[in-house]
Amino acid sequence: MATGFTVRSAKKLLKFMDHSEYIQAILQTIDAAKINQQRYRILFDPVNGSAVDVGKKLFEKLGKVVLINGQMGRKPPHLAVN
Amino acid sequence: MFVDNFFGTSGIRGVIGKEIDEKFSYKIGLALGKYIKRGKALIAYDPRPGAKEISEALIKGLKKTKVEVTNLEILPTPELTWYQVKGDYHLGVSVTGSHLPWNMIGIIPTLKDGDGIYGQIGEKITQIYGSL
Repeated sequence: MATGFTVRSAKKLLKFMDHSEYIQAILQTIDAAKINQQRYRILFDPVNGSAVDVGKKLFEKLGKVVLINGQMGRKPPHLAVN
Repeated sequence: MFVDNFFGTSGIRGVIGKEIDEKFSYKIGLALGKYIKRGKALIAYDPRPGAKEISEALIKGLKKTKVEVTNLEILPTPELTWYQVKGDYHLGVSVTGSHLPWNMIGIIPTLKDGDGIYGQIGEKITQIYGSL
């Protein structure tokens, strides 16, 4: 995990970092190389929510991503009845 | 209606425009700000309709109490909390409907160290809300 993190403007930082620091922190908790060796296809369903971008970027580090319901802000199909 | 504690196991949940509207959110912002007594806060919301407006009202309330607010806009709750803890913020609030029906939303605050608000702290903040 990165050290010496200071936030003067977290928004600017996020735009600059493009989620990369957060993703890196997650990857450091697992053996990404070992997972990659398995050549997984990863089905990722963020149900059109806020994790579309960061989740896709994270899972792309671990295999080939198949994304469904990846339109951020669109009403998810399982809620269409409400 | 008198409520002892707005906070359930994970924040405040309700129907957008009924239990949770901009006026309610503004007052929750005031109450949270008065509870943490200034400090700095990170806010984020999900892309659900209404989340942005409710967040903006919450931010207005927090700023009124001199809390320094950074609005991260659309961001998942775990990522918000990660930045909050790492950046040593006194408060993080995620405005998100999560898995709830489309017409519902949640105001999910976390205090320093990423701890949720419930129990006695929730009651205290609800009391502050009632006194406004």
